Amino acid sequence: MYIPLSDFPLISLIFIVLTSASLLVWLFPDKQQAKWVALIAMSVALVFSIMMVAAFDSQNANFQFIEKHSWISTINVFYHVGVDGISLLFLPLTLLIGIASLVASWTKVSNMPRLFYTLLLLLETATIGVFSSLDTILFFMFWEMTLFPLFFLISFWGVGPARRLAAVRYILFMMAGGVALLFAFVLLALDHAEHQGHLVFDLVTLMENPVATELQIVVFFLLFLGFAPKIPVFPLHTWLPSIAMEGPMAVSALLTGLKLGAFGLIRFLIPLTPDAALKFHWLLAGIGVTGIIYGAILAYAQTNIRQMLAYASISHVGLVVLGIASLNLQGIQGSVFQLINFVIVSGGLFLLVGFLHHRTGTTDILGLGGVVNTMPLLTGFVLFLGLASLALPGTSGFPAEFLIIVSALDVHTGAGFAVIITMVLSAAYFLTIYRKIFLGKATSIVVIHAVDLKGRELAVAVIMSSMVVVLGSFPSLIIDLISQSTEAWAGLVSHP
Amino acid sequence: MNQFVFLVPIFSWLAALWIALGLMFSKTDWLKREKISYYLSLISSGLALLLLLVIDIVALFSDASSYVVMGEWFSSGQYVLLISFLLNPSALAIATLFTLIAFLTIHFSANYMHREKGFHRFFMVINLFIGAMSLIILGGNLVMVFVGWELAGISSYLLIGYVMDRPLATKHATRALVTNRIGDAGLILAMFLLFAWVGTTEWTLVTEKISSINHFTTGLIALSLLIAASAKSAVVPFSPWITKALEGPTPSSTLFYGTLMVHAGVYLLTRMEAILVQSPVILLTLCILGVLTVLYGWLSGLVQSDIKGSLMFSTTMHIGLMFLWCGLGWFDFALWHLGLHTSWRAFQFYFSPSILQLANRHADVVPDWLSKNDWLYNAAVQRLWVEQFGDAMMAAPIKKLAEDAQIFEKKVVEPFIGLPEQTHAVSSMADWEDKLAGIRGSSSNIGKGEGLFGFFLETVAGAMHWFEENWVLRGSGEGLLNFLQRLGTYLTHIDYLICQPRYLLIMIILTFIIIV
Repeated sequence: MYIPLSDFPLISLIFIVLTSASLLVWLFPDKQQAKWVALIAMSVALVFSIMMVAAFDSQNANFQFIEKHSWISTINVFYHVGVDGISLLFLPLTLLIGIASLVASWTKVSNMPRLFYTLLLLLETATIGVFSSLDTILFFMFWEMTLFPLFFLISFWGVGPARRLAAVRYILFMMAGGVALLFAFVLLALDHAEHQGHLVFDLVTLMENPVATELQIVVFFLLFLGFAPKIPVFPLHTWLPSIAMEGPMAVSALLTGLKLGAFGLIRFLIPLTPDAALKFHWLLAGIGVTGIIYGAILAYAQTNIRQMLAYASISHVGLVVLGIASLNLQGIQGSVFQLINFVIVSGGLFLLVGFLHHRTGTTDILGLGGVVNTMPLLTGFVLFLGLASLALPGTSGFPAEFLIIVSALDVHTGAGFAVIITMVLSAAYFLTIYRKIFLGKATSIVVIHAVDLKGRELAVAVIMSSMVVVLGSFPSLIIDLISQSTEAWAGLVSHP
Repeated sequence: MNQFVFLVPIFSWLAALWIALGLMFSKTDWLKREKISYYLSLISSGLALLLLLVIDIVALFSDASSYVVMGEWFSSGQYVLLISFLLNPSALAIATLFTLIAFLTIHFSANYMHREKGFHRFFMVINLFIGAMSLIILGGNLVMVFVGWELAGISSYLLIGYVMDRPLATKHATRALVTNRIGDAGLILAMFLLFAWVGTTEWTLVTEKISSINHFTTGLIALSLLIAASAKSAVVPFSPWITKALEGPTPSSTLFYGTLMVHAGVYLLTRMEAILVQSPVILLTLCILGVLTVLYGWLSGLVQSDIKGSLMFSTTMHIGLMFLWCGLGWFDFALWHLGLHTSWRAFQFYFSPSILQLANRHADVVPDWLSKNDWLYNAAVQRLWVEQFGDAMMAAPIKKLAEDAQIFEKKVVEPFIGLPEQTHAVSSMADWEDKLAGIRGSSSNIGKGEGLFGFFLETVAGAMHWFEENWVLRGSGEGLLNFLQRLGTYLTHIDYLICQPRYLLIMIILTFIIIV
């Protein structure tokens, strides 16, 4: 009997593969086999997610691969998952960056390897859950479930001396946000209970029946407060630079690459409160622009490339917030494209910098300089991904930034101008620190004796870079996939 | 035949890609690979040249200009980005000339770069650049031009910093790219304005429709294109980067700053003739910029002591002249000037090392009238202070601003967000004594809050405690006085900062953003 691929519970299969692998890790006698288990599980899950992309009907704006089972029936909570064009690509990308992080830290985890891989697998599961859940409570559960693996990953395997503090700081920020999120979801459910007689946590139903405008405003601010620390927006961003400095590179890559907060804005904030969004889009735009400029200026002041990348990431995610605030087609398409681009570029850059750190023990300009003399390939790839983050045409950064800029100029002209000014600044901050670390004469002994990228590491760099080129040369590959869903999204909140 | 024109840049880029892959994976000796890189580049540019010649011949016998649309690159709503080429006589002529020069340059560089460590890197970037340049010239819309524009900028960065371990070279490379980015920003703005008001960036359609649009908007479009052209062609006030760009090997200096890239700005001006002639103000600006650049290039060129320097300033002067011709509306004349200047300058640059050998004499001395006028002489040597002016206006304030922001982040934002500090150490003896006496920080015995809410609770408790201790218990007098004094110092600080030009500038920008 032939079952079409789209009826197959692929999302659940991914969950099952990842979680069962996280248990399986403990059954093998040799600790070193743990990474193989993790790698195989993630690869299998990646295959499933690629099958989803292949079977996805891009002409259909609705959620697909839907699975809906009653979970907590007394309060109408469902196990309800599915993807549309906006969230589809994040599944393979989450797994891809996960695999890249795993491969990049292949030999670096000697301390409690089983626990490390278990936590990494759980983190991947939770992240995929965040991207695919269509029930607010299920979403919230996955959202909070990303926290505890991160806490232990950062505090046990971090590279900096203050890693525990950084982990605590991160968790506190996220917990504070989580309260607001849950409150907002409960408010929505209770309001529907008043009108329909039963609690509603289902995203699709909630989107179809928006609540009254006054309540929307309350929910809008609560949800924004919930997502803001994770995006992160100014001034709630301080955890990101400290994680970048203290956390293990693989985790920094995952955290800066996958912008769950911005995804939350797209998936929950705007569709659930369209009227409030239309009222307060200027606020979102203002917050976005503040982030863009503040992050760019601070990135310019950094002496450590990891800190620089963290601030640059704050600046770039501001761009996504600005794109979302435009509430038009170009804005949302650019934002989704930019989020996809992030996974490859930001994630890739953190992994590359991790290779540098692994060799030299530092990423500060003080201890480095002249890296190119001994590590030309690493230097080349960092430059290439860096240029992608500057939105060089031909790289995946360009279509994303172009769409966001035109949408911003269209709706918030002043903000658009500010972004154009930061285009210049972004070249300045990246190239200045790049020059000081990678170019020049090699003086430090660790640099002189370092070896260039090899085997595994080269593979990671090449895969990331070729994705940048392919998506940059053929942006329609992505835009075609996301166009129907983004059009539906923009239709929810047509700008006056 | 015309529809194969897209192969012109593709040939060069494929060669660049192949060399790049060789750099990454090839196990053969790099000296032995020199031949491969060389022949690959020669063949790719040769093929491009042949193809262009065939198109030229076809164009000679058929309709003069043709507009080729290859398809859609990507689109979003009304923004449709096409891959298109506009093959009008001027574009074909310039493209053929430029490709010929590129072809010859590759041949020249094979010997010049022989046994250089960066041989392959050099050829990779040169190929990338040749493709980018042909896209600028042949592209049928602003988007194509932008792609070429940025790629050319990056190639120039990579070649100015060719000697990667010389700090000055890489510094100048960074400067060049950052200046170029200003131009790119102008181009992005122009693209948006064209999309918003004309609905397309295709040259053919823009030419048709531009006259129906009001003058103010055409002026804005022309202005943003002018910024782009000036930055790329190193016209005053963007000039300083180009004289510092001669750090790379001679062939690359020739190709970028002597001949091809530096003319891209002028070429863009001639390409958008239809827009420029709509706004007299911009034409006047073009004239002024042109004249200023001529003065700058001429005066500074007179006092140069090395041949490359004086050639570069002479090039700058000619670019200024071309801007002037465009400003006067003589676009065809500017194009002729461009073509002739390119050919002559390429020859001169390549010949310059040999000329020193052949002539075997000193450079011309500075003319009398200049050396007698101290002030003018000084100005010429300092290159009219254009660079210092730019630094003082842009680079220095941004640097200062970044430092201020860093302090703000560490001293204001992080404490304000209220998370566990990294250390709880006391910073000074006085602090310690205060602590012993229980004057400050006494709230810490009550309890240490963590996180946003904890911080709020703690702060509120602390503030009340402090209020009670200092004001209620001690009554008026010392506590209040101390407080006022501290407040005064803070205000003085803030006042001082506001008076700094960078903050004034920011406030102006902010007002602008809010108003728009």
